[in-house]
Amino acid sequence: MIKDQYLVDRLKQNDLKTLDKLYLTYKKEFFLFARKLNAQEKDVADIYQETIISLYENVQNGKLEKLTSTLKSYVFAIGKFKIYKHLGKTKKLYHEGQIIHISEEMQLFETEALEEQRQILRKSWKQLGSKCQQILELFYYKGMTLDEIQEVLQYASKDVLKSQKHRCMAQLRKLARERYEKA
Amino acid sequence: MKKHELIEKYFSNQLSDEEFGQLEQILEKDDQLRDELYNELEVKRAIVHEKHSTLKNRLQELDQNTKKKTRWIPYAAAIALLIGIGSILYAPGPDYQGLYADTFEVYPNVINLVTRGGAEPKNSETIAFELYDAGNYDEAVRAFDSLYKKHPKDYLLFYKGVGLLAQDRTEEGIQALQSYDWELDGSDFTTASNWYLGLAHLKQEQVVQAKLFLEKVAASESNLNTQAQELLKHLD
Repeated sequence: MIKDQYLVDRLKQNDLKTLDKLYLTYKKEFFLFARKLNAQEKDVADIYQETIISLYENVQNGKLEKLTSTLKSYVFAIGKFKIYKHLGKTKKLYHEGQIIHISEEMQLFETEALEEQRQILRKSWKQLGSKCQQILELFYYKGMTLDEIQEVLQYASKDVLKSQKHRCMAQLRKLARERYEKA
Repeated sequence: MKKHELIEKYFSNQLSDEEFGQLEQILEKDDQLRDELYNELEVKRAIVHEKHSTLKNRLQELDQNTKKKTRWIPYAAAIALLIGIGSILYAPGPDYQGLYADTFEVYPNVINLVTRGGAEPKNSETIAFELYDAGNYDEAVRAFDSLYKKHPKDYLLFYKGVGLLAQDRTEEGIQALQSYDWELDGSDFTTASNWYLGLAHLKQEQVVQAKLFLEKVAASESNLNTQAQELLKHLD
C-alpha cells in the first residue's frame, strides 16, 4: 500500500515511466480477468489501454489522491466497468438515443457516442476561444469547483463566471452544430 | 441540494455515495438535466482526448516493443531480407536523415543567463548550462541528470533530452523527453519538447510518431509552428 501510494504520487508528478511500468505489470493478469468476464479477445488490448489512461486521468484531476485499496484493485475496478460497458452489462440512463453508463462503485458516468460526432466536437473544441477553453478545462478536466475557478481567474462573482461558462458551452455546441450540418 | 450543485460536485469529485445515488434518481426523471449532463460528459471527454492523444500511442508502442523483444528475434533475418527486397522494389521515400540534419539545432539556453565577469559564486546549475553552452553535451547531460534527480524541474529534463539528441544519442533522447508529461502541467517547454520529439522520431524514420508531435507544434502559437508546418509538407 505504501509503495502503491508512492506510485500514485509519481503519476501525479507526470512521471510517464511509472505509467509504462504499471501498464506492463498488470497486463497479463488483466487479460485473464477480461477473459473470465467473457470480453471479446480482440477488444481487450484497447480496453486495457483505456483503463490505464483512466487511471492516469483520475490521478490528474484529483479523483484519486489517497488510495483506500491497493492500486491493482483500483485499476481492475476501472477495467471491470469498461468491460461491462463493452458487454452492455452496465446500469444505464437513456435519452433520445443517447446512452449514459453508470458505475456506482466508481461513482462514474460515461457516455456512448459515434466516433464521427466525437471528432466534430474535438475539432470544434480547437476552434473555441482560449478564454473559454481555459474555463472549461479547469472545470471539466482539472476538476476545480466554480469557487476555485473564480478565485484563480479573478472573476467578480461566481454568477459572472457561471454565465460565462454557460456562454462557452453554448458557443461550443454552436460550433459543433455548424460543423455537423456541413458534414 | 439543488440539482446543478450535484452536477458541479460530480465534476469536482466531491459527491458522497448518498449524493451520487440522489443524482442518479434525479437524472432518471429529469430529461433536460440528463441532456445537459450528456453534453458535459462529451465535452469532458473531448478535452481529455486532447490532453492524452499521445498516451494511447505510447502504450501501443510499448506493446510492440515488448513483443519485438520476445517473439520477433528469430524472424529478424527474414524481415531484414524482405526490407532488402522492398528497398529494391520501391522508390525511396523522403530523405528523413537529410531533413533531420537540415532542421536540427540545439535549443538555446533560456534558463541560466550568465552575466560575464560576475563575481557571484557558480552553482551547479550554472555550471551545467555553461557546459551546454560550450557544446560539451556529454558532460552537460550528466550534470542535468544528477541535478534533475535532486530537483525534478522540467527544464533540467528538457535540456538533458536535447543534449542527448545533440550527440546523436537519439533513442536515449526520446526516452528522456517522453518520460515527462509536458502538456499536462502546461510546462513552458511543451511545444519545444514536441518539436524535438518530432525531429527525433523523424531521424529514427518513425514517421507516424514524428507527424503526431510535429502536428502539435504546427498548431501551437509558438514561433516553431511555421517550421513544423514546412517540415510536415515534406512528409506528406
